[in-house]
Amino acid sequence: MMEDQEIERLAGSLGGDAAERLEVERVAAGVVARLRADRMQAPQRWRWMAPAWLRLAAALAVLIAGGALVRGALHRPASEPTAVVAAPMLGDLTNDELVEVFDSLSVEAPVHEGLAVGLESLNEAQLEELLRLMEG
Amino acid sequence: MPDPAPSDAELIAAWRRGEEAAAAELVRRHARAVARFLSAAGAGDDVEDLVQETFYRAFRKIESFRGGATFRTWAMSIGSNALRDLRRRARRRPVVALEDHEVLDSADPHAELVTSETAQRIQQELTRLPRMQRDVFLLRAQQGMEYEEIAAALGTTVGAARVHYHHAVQRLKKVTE
Repeated sequence: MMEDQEIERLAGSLGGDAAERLEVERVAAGVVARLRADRMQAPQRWRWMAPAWLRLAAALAVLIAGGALVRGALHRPASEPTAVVAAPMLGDLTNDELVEVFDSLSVEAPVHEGLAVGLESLNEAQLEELLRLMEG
Repeated sequence: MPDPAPSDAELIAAWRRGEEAAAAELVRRHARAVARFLSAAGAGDDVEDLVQETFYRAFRKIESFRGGATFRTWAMSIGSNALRDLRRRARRRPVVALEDHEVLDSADPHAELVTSETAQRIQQELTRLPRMQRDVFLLRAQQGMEYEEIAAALGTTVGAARVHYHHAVQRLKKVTE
């Protein structure tokens, strides 16, 4: 069996020919050329990526805004009306229009204590009062 | 009196400032040593491409060079990674060309042949060693580096490097029996 030193000596001799044959200048030129190409590509890549970043940011903003709206809608107590109708304007509406307003709010015809009639049978003042009660 | 040649650290700093000539000079200084290392590790005919890839990678990630090891040792560890990647891509064992083996000086043709065959067996076994064993062994036996520097370059401890070296020598001794 060979001694450790002999193994080391033989191993030390390996690769000598390959090192001698190496075209060092060609390697150096190749490395520099690749690095230079990288440096030139870097700004172009940024320019190409910029619209992509903008698109991503826009999509993110839409997602966040949408998420906030959905969350707000889901977390709103059911008893609260989902829209605010300016009370002073109600006086200008006809009964039918007021019923339409209720429909648009997705609110079933409310039944208050002692009031077991349909919306259509209420007069303008009663409907206005009813809306005010619902809005709190 | 001419200015002394700039140190590796000065050339690295110059490259960081964007001086391409500094990168080229570092390649000139260390390319042959890296080629020897990669050839012994089993790079075969791909040595030149691997050396180029090694330095290209080194300069691209020069910010991660901390100076715990020399630039040359650090480059060799990058070369080892490049060789591993090449093998993964190629999915083949490296072809070891006979002319890659340096025939040691000898007046005795028979002794020369035996030595050459032994060197060939050692080279073949080197390609089969676990990567860490192979790298530690070559950096120590071929490049003459201290365990401290080897450990820093390969991201291991001095004690572990010694163990890897010992195991590598034992395996190489077996193939020379």
